[in-house]
Amino acid sequence: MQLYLIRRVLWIIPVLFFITLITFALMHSVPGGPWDREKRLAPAVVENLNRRYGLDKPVWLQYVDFLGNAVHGDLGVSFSYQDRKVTDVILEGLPVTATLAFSALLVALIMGIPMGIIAAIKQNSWADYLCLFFATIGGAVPNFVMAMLLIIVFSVGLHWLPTSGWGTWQKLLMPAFALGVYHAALLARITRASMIEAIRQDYVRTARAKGMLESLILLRHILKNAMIPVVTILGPVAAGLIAGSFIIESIFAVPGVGKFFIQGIFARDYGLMMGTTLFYAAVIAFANLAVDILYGFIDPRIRYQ
Amino acid sequence: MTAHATKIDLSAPPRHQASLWGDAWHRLLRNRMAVVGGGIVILLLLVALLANFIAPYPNKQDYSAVFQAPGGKYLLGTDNLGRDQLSRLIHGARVAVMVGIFTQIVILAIGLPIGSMAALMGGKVDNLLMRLTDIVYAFPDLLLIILLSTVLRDNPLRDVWGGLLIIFFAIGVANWVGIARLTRGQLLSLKERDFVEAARALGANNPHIIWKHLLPNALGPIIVSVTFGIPFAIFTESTLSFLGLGMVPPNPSWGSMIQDGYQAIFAYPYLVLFPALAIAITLLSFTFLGDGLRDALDPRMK
Repeated sequence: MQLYLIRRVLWIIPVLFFITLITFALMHSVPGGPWDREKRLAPAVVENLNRRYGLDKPVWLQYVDFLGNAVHGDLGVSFSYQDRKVTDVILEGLPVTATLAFSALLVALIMGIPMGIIAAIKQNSWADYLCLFFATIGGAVPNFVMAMLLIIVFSVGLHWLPTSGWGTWQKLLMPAFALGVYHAALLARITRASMIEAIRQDYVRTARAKGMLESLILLRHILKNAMIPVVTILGPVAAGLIAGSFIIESIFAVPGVGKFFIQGIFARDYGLMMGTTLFYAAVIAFANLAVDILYGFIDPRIRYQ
Repeated sequence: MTAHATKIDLSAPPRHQASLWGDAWHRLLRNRMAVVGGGIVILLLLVALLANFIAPYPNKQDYSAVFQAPGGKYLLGTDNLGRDQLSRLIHGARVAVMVGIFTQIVILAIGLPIGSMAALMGGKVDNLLMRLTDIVYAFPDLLLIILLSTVLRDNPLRDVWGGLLIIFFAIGVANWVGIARLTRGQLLSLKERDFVEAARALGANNPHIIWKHLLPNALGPIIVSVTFGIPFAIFTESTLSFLGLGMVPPNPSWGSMIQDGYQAIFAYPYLVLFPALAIAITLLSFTFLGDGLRDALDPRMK
């Protein structure tokens, strides 16, 4: 187990390294640079700017510099945010993105798991079909389309919720829901499938034969075992929530990391693009790691080698 | 003993031949949702093919008729430039179909050879290719697609099909990992099966085994994966276009139509509603079809 964990943690390093390499190569293979404006800057100005930000050095040296600094936790400066450090910009957006992703996760858990459980217990009833119907629709509609439909109903139609901004719970509702519904549908499907499998196990029949209370069977035997596959999917779910949040953030004008990523892309802000990409990749890598560890704890049958 | 013994008919009973694909087809037709989904998909294909005949002028602007409400001369209304929304939706369907099909071609062109090579050559090649897929897999795919499409935008190819070629490429390069892993897994498990052993015992050579035994048997899961890949590609393209990183205006994509309409959503919500419904219905249909195909092609999974 320990050996596995160490290997698993160490594997994150080359992954992140290659991600920075790919991102860097992609960014610098584009003709043009961060100083392209509608009104062209004087060549001398561009030259000075390039020197100031080290963009006059050969590309490979720029990459080596970036790596050297990144190892010390310094992701360089943003070109478009008046020389702010990229780490500061990310740290500013982080609590916002984390709040949004966490709320969306809550939406997904609170909607998805009970639906899956009910659907499995009442298999082939109208409740089951309703849940499956929701799971199919929720799983097929992209989050920005969901956001648009929500805005049309709750902002345009009913005037209940604001379409943009951050800071109050009303402003959080639609983004969290738009982001979470897809994952709620995913969780509902998986919960239902693994519940149905658990219900058919021998130990459930044994428990029933012992005369155990139905509610206790459900709680101790079925749920406990059915939740294992659900936990494994939480890694991809968390990754999807974090990485999917930038679309939702830009629709609802939520000042999170995603907004900076999009701005970085449009402004050709190398530092910001690199920093936010690395941030997303790292969060996803660690989310998957955390779920792997959790998995080992809740399922004693799993033996890592 | 009677002189006339009962004549026994030794020829096979006139029974319908149960082939793998025939059976799957019948199972698919029994699935009502899959049939509905498939029907809508066929309709979408027809609309896409005939777009130029049904709606010849998706970009025609009529300044005397901007923001017309749905109904009347313009069935689904007009936008801020007086463009007919129905025509644009129809051409958006064409974009969606092209994205769905061509990205899958790119994905298969990269994923199939890599997956097969990993499975069939094994050893170091397998290890190397699988580490490569691990790395691409670890890259958040939407981020990679956005980076790729931004990078590729500054090159002459961006004018091909209104920037669609770049999108096919970007989505394909970011998403081949699933097919590669699937192909590898399928081939690895099929390689050990008895019928392959039997073919080998009968003297079949490697290419024969690969073409006649391994690939046909791996095809089912690959078809299912492609069917689910199509809506994902459409979803990705519409997201890119929605963010302004997809098709070059004025070409209509459902995503860019939503983006355009979003500017005036309070006054004219139908400009957002119709393309949003088009995306939702299309993706749902593909999902139903994909679910049906999965159940039909692999009865064990039910």
